[in-house]
Amino acid sequence: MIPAPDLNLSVLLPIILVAIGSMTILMGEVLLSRADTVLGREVTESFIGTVLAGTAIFFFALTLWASGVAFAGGGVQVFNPDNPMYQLDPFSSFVTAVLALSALLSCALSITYLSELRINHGEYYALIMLSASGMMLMVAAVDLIAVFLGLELMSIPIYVLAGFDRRKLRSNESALKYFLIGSFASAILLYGMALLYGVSGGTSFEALRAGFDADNPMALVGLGLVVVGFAFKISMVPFHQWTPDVYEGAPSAVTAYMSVTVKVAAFATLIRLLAMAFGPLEASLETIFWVLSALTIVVGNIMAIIQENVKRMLAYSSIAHAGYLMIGLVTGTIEGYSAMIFYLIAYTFMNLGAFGVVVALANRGNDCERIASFAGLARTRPGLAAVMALFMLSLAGIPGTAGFMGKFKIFMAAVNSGDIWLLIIGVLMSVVSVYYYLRIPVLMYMREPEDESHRTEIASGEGAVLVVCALAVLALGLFPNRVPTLLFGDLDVLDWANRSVGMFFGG
Amino acid sequence: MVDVGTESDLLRWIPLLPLLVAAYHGISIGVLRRPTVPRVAAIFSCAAVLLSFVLACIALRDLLALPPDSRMLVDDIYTWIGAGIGSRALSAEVSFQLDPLSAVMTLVVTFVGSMIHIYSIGYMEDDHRDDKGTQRFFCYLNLFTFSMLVLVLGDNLVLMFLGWEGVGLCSYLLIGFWYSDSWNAYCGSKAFIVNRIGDFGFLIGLFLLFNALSEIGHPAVSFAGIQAHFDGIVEMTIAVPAWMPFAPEWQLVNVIGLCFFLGACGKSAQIPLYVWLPDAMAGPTPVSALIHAATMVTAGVYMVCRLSFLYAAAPEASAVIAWTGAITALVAATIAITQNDIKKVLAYSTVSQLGYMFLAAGCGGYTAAIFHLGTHAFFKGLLFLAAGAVILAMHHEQDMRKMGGLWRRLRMTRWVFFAGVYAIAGFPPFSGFFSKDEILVAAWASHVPGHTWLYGIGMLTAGLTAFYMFRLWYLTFCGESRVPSDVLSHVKDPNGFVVNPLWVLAFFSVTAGLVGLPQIWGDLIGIEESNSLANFLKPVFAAGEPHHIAHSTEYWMAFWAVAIALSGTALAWLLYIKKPGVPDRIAATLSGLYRTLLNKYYIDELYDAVIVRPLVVFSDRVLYRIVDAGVIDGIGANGTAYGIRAVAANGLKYAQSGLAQNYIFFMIVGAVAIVGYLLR
Repeated sequence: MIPAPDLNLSVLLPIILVAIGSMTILMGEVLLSRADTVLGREVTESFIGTVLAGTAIFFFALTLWASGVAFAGGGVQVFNPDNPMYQLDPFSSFVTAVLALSALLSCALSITYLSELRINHGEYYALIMLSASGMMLMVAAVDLIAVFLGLELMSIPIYVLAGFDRRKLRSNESALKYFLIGSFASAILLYGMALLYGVSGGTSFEALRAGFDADNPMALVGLGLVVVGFAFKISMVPFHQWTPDVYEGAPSAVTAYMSVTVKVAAFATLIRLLAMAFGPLEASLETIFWVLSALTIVVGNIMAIIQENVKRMLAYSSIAHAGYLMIGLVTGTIEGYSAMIFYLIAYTFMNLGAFGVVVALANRGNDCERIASFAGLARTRPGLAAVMALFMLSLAGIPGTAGFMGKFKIFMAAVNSGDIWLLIIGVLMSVVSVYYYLRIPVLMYMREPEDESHRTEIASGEGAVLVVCALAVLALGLFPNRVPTLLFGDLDVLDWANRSVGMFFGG
Repeated sequence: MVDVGTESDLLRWIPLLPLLVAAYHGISIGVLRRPTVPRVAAIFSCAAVLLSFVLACIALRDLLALPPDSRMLVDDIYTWIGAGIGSRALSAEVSFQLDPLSAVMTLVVTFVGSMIHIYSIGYMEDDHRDDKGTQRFFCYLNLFTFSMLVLVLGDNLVLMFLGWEGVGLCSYLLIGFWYSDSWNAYCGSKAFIVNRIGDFGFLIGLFLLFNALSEIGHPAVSFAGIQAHFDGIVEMTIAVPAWMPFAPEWQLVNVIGLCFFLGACGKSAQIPLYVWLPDAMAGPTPVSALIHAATMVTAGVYMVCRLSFLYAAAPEASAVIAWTGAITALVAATIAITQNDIKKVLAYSTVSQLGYMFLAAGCGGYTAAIFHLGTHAFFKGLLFLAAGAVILAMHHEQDMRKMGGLWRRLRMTRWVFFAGVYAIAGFPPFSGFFSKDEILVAAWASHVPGHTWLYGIGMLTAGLTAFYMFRLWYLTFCGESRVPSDVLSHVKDPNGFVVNPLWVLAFFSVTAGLVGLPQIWGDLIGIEESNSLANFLKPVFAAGEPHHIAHSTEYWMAFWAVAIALSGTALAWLLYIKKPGVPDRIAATLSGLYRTLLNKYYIDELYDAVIVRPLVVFSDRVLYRIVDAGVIDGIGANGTAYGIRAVAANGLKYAQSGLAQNYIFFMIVGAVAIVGYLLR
């Protein structure tokens, strides 16, 4: 008789909650669309959308709570101790919490936007939840197979989401392009994994670390291909070219979601992979990361200058930010990793905020995409203009905002590990970035409004997201060590970031 | 750290309340663009400052409950700037401290501040130039109060500098408050730029001090930290080239002290940087009262007193302070004699009184300086506000030659104005008498070279003060009315918001001197330790060893002070009431001297010709046209910008073809490069 494996179901709790949420939404839509009235209210399309978004937000909040509890508890729990594939540890629970929070904000951002674009279909939220569960699997994985499973579970719903506005050519193009190139990258990644398996005889990170032979060419090829696979997901130059096309074509709310969560998940996985599986290889990878980082910072910032479409501009800006983040990987120190985590959180809020403003301006099926259409926004929509200016300042890294603190921590880590030249490139290119970021505040505050049909009022969901993001950007910028809040006491984000990566350094 | 002090979470709210209301005003007019009803906005602001005052009183009670030697409340909030490591580590905290010195300052700022806020409600209702004006005004006023409180409560030099710059900014904004008139905007810029020169000195002093402390292994910017390790740097010197005065070496603390004093000269309008203050009268009158008489301009005096341990070890720097103060007091008083604008007279009087305070501080009489600072805040605040009431009643007429005989019309204003004039002229038992007397005693008793001369200048200035203040009084309130008849019929006391704070300030102008009653008077009426202010402040200041003064000498000094004030008054009465034609004849006879004084010794013209104009020409011809427009913009900024743009537009753009197969091609190139590098 085979003994039942000793499973630790609580390890999967955050992921299970998200999965249950997506099922609930799918079934809920079916039930709701059959009914005429619910609790005395007429069932309209926007009513269904609101209920389903509410469901998604509820489940994400549960996940946030569950992962927060796990993080506070600390310690490492493995799902199946006999065959470790997933583990809940400070790192995965913290990143899961960040993912859940940003997915939650994305859902709140989408409610009115989907109605405006007349693509208010319930499966939207189910897809978001599915991809989120994939990301959470990926960051908790300690086995190559599990990483790949999570990666695909994350990617496929996002391919669909990118083409969600199916009546629009651009949206279709975006989805198809992303799918084609994404499949190609997945294939490269899988090939690399296969080679690594061939070298070490196992797929778990532990086996990889034990069986890795740095002199074996097969191992090196495998390693290189795995790096390429991830470099695609985090859009490092030269694996970045899909990014502007996809970000531009996808509905803005989807872009907001994918631009932050995919980056967080992929970077987190890369950190874990490097720290747990490829430990001895840091020296040879360091040069590769150095070059990738420098290239990405330079190309991302320079290309952003000439963009006339705000979503494309933000796409290049997100490429540039991936380059800054990569500096943390180059350092390979606990300081660098924790700076990356802090930066990712800062980036989440400021980028979600910036796309959130674009979403909040979308009107009757039209995205507000041209940079020129921001002219005079301070006159017509002063509140939106103010938060947009704040997000732009933060993305540019002006002191007092989260973006500055993030860059400061990353650059500080680079100084302390001796990567002075990378730091110089980063700082110089930050100066370049000020040009394109500040264009928008200049247009908003110093030009007369064009005859542009923006939406004239803001929905409560969008407003809440923007307020949360703006407050977070300010709070992280002003009190990086300790964010004072009235409700939850002091939030010590830097300390959390340190604790989450501390486990890789024997902390 | 020597003395950590007692924790108190209360302190942070004293500056924070005005800041929160300022932020509210800023958001509602700047971001939301929905101004609050002016009256409501004004009441918020007043409430914030009044609450700060109440909190300051509670904090004072807590402070008094402690034993005299350890009276120190601290509120450490967070590390503001942490940089450097080891012996060069800089750690500037956002941390407030309340010791007797900052307690006095805080009470003065919040109390006089609240009165002036209330007054402003009435004063600004008269202003209809701009619908957002009132709220903007109160926003700046609250921001000013916040900055001033940070300045006096900050426990380190860096935080103090933040407040220092903050009050400078608010002063600039408020002088140019009616910016549509370009003269006001010019005056605001002048104040700001002149202050920058002083701020430069402040910063250099700060850097030198920090550097010296780092060299002995105790980097610190907090006052407690500096004081604890100060002994280690007293002996340090700076080597200078032989052609410089006092070569071959300067004592470091003297240099640091002079640098800080340059900052004080800017903020507190001392020679050579006093020129901005008279022009600052372009701002609304409550601003002149709050910022340019009662509080901000005294920041320099506060700083010198705060650093008393430094100046006690720097006798040469102290002597410079004393002499600068004395000369400023005299020069400003002589200018005040000839001015015809009621606010200008008060402005020069302020410069002169600030000179008194520096005279005291330079002579080691820190208590006297702070005492005069406090009484001056009351009576000069009162005089400005009362002058504002006159100006309101006169429909914004400020020329005293067009006033006269207002005694019969302004039946309430006249009494408070009278109290202010008596207080500043130095008649017992009004507050100005005691504080001025203490300064003169301090000057007499000090070790500063030529201290008897300093005493003489102080006495002369006291006589001039009485003269020009009574000249102002007679020209405005007494004699024949020279008011145009169409205005005269409307002249009456302004409304209650304006008048009531005046009574409060008048009360304190009369009585505030009693907190510093000299011991010789206390002995007469049988009070032990009558000078409660001095006793309260004593633990803060570095104690010097002044010359002993016999009691009889002190009585005589008081007598002569009253006598000279009386003679100044009598002269004013003689010239402006008894024989009104005489001043014009004197002016005609001594026309050269008169014109020099009327034109303020041509100092503005001198600065303009020697500094401003050459600088403007150099800046325009060389720095702007050649360096900035040519090199920096042309080659540097625009050159690189066009270059980078061209790279993006002509090069990189073509890589972004939009075709998936091209993208995959680049990916393969990248993958091959990475794998190739790994296999090398």
